[in-house]
Amino acid sequence: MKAWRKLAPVAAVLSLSMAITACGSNSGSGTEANTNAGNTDKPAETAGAPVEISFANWISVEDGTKEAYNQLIAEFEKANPNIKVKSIGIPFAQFKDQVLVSSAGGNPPDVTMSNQNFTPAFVGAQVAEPMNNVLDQAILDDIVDGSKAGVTFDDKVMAMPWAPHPSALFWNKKLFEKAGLDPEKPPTTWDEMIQYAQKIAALGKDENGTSIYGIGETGASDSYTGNMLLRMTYSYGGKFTDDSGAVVYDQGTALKDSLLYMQNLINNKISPKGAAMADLRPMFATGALGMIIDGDFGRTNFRNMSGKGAEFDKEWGVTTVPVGKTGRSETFFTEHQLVVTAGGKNKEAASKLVEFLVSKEAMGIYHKLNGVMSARKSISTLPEMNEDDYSKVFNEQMKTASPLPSKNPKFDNAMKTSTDMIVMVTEGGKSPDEAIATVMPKIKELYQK
Amino acid sequence: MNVRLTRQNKNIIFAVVLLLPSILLLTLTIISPLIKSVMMSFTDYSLLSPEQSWNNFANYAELLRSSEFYHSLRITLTYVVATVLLDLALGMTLALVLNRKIRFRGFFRSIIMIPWAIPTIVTALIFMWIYQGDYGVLNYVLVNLGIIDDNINWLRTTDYALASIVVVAVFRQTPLVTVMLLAGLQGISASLYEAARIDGANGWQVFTRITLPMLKPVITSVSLIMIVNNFQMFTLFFTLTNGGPAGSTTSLAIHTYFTAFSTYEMGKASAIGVIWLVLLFAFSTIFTRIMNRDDR
Repeated sequence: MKAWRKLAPVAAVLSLSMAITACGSNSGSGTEANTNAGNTDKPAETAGAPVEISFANWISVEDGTKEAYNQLIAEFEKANPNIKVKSIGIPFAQFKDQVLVSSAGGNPPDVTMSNQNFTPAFVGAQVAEPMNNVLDQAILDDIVDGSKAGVTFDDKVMAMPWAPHPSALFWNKKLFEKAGLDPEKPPTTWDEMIQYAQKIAALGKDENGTSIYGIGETGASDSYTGNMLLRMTYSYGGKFTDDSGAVVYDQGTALKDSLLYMQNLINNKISPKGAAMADLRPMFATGALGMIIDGDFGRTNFRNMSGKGAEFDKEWGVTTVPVGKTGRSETFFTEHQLVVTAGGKNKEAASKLVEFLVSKEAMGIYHKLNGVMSARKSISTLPEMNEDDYSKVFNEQMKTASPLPSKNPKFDNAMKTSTDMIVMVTEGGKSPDEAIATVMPKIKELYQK
Repeated sequence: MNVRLTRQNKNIIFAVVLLLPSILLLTLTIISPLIKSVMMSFTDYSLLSPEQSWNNFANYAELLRSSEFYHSLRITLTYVVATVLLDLALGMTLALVLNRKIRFRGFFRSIIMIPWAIPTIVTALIFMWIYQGDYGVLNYVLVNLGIIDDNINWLRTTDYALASIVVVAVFRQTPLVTVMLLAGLQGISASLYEAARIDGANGWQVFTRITLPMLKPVITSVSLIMIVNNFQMFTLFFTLTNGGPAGSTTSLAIHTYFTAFSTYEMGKASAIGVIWLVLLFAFSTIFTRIMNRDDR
């Protein structure tokens, strides 16, 4: 008992001190945060003192783009020795939510990556600082028109378009040859594409027993699949919203035709069932897909996934999306964008980073490593950005690619919801009309909230 | 002024001093967010607007009218019931086997914990590959055994997605159930079994008249832990199916997440959390009372 009496106060003091220590470490960070906050009033970099800015991004955590990120930041830090960039790498799937939550909690990054699906949410949540306040007008005037329209909200440019990614058609030359098609002649019309896909799917299985599909169309339950469904609808002459922003997706026959197209592909095993883009890319890289519609980062992905590197380039070709009902090559472009946050502590340094990342020098590095294009008129036309057929195809595709109609912050959710229609027609036994009648009211309700 | 404290008061002060750090930490990490969440559930707070005002129970009224809420509740209950029942059945079987004098008993008792030791997210990723429609080992085995004719995309088909998640949950959780039941089995006196055998009881009678009643407190605790854990399960649903296909695996956790981060309605998402908390609390109270009824 005596021993207990001696030990008990020690235990109490120890546990209290541990709690205080735990709180103490937090207050330590608080002090650091306050020091940084002090930099806001008087930007440190102008006074010559080093400043650290945070950059929320997903390219530093993806294998295909990690190297480009490292090189870009190294070059920026070399040119701006007083500015250190702290990377906040967040996987793409959680990116929007994490940036929104950290910003709502008063701890936004100084610069964040974004895209057409995320920017409306960042604008709606007042996370984004108008670019007109932080970038030179000359840079804003240099943005290609389609991209600029996508980031302009109430006449203000709210994000800096960085790298547009139009989707084009990749085809596997070996599978074309096996199916009796000319490996150097990709389909030029939508009907031709379906015919070719049927012929390739008729090959059945390869020597390892792996199923071969004619084309890979996504059928998963994610917003990217929704974007892809919208792309098909463009080819059938449809659109998602009218000029006033009202949802008109179900008007006309385009959506119905797109769902019939998906029903035909999946039920006849021309395209795999329920596949996400992450499933389809390795399938194309391993010779299980005859065709796939993907962005300009496809080449890097396929080289890595095939395990053959640049050697794999001999086995495939890329061309513009076949012409559908509208008589032109319809596709959409996704786009990496950059946002300077309204609550960021170091806007001057943040704007310098954005300015650098969209510069000729940075785009040269990014293009060389990942084949990406620039959203700036003066850079996208440079010979070094159009040095091979691959770049030429994507630059050509960009001319007819449409921006996603993503001005409404609920667009991302609407795209995800729209994928229910694919599931209904491919495995729920519903007709396209029934699927449209079930799902479209939900999407319209979402937009009205 | 010389204040003399009684022995009882000294003990109370001493107890408070000992508990204070824990109370402070719990207040910071659990009670404060809980209160904030309950308060938020009565507002129209949205991530898209800094304004938040009292909205007169509108979140609760909307939820209780919403078919999506009941759908996600049904999915959650189906998942919880199936997972916990399978956990208990398999856990009991394994515990009974490992309680017998079998060869390599120590080895089996050690390796059985491996699935529990692996983080849930890792288990989910491993099973994503196993279930993969075109390259997954499950389809390869089933097709080669002639059980199925063609590959099935387990996680992207409405008929199989929820069942596939249950399998992953059972794989991961059964070891813990097994170990807890095994500990309970080892606490049953051998003399009881000996007496039963002398009285001529067969194996089934021994199991139902001695083993099960003696294990009841352990089974109650394990069941409650498993029910609460599975009711909150987010990682498996989010990683494996993200609520799809066509909402066939949209559990309460996923529904809350989508409400908060896809439609940005934080107030409504908080209201789902509060209803969920009340349901769990009511269930736990009733369940514990029923299971303890005979003991009183």
